[in-house]
Amino acid sequence: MPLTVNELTKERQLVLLCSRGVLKDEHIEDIKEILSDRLDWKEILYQGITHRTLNMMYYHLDRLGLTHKIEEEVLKAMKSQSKAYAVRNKVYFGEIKKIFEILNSKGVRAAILKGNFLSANVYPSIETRTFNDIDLLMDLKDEKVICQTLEELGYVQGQYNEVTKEIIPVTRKQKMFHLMSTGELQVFLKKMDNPFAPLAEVDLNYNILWKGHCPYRIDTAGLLERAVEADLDGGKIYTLNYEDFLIQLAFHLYKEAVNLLWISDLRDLKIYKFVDVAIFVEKFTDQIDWDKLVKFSIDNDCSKIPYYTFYYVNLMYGDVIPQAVMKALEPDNKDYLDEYGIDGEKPSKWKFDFFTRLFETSRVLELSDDAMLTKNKFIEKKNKVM
Amino acid sequence: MQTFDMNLIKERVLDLVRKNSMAGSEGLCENSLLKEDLGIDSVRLVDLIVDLESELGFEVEGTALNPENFRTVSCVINYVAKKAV
Repeated sequence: MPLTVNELTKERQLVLLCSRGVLKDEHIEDIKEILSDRLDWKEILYQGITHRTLNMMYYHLDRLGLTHKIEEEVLKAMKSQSKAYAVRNKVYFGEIKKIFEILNSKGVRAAILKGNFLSANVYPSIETRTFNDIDLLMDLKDEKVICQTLEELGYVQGQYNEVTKEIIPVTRKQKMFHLMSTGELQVFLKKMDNPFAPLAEVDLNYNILWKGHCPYRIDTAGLLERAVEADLDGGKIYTLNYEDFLIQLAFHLYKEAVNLLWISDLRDLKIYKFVDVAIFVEKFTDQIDWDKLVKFSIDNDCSKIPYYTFYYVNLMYGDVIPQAVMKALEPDNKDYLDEYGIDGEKPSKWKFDFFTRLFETSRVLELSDDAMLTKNKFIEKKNKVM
Repeated sequence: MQTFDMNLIKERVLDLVRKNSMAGSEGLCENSLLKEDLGIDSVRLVDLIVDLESELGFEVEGTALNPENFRTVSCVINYVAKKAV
């Protein structure tokens, strides 16, 4: 059972090392040493794809002049994927700018979250952070005007049929159920004339938490009031301030890491989510007001959540989050660090250590039956309103 | 939305709650809790809301989907009455 990064296989160590935003000399030395051995590239390729860190690995190895160490066909796959995502992300940036142009003209405040902002402003190159949708935080009071804006731009609230390649609009009932059972509106979709981004998706989040047994309350209106203007590929957008951005990343990571809906689909523990936190902290280390973040967490009685995320970020990447912050957030009981199924009546405990959970897909075969009941109930209800 | 008097609103809301309740008319009164007393879970609540919208001709905004408006039958009546003003 690997408990530290050094106990991992060379392939997995390489995946983690090359997922970093900034490489220090010691990291470069470690990468060179690992690459001097024979490696199982199918393991590296799979982990890079599933954890969405393959493009970052290619970015680093290319700049370090080490691509000749990569198995030839794997290298081709890396290059192709990096090029495709550069185009794809650029298309998405165009959509984000159009949305904000209209929202800004209407005086409506929404904020870009996670990967959309990070890929443009924090990651070293546009393709090194991949994303599949546009994530906006909105106040439900602006629901009508934001929905109208997206409709003006050709978006439809619907579901995509992969076979017919058509968007099927959802019913009022489905929209309502989605809004009530999740923290977001039914996704908005638009077919695009680009082979690398054939479908644009917009998620409108009105809550950064989750539904069902969630003991926390974070005021969305407050987050939006504190949102700050930023640049995204030459367009004027809004995003959360430094501390709120980090809090949102931490909540998002925790929510998906311990929620059955994400775990059973293997969308729970993805390295890129930890990188998001690490890279954001490294980039804005002088701007983040840690006292403010700690105070917010304590005032909202939610310190356990950032602690969870920061704990694992430090386990993977060293002391990214200052120890004083960890101390200030540290809960008395840390059993929850190894629990999942928070959306159910009672959480379950993982049988594996963190790194096994992170890298082994078979973890889903061990999910407890009790925990799966919650997920199945939700799916059953969702199907009823179809 | 059409304008209704309070009695008419009560009557229409009670009819729609009854239609979507697991318990039918049994024990149905203005103080009944939608979930606990009448078995109106999230799926049935969506049905109730869609019925209210189509029968009474207004739209329930996302901001209105909270316990204050949908905890008891009387909460629903008060919400609809406010919308009718």
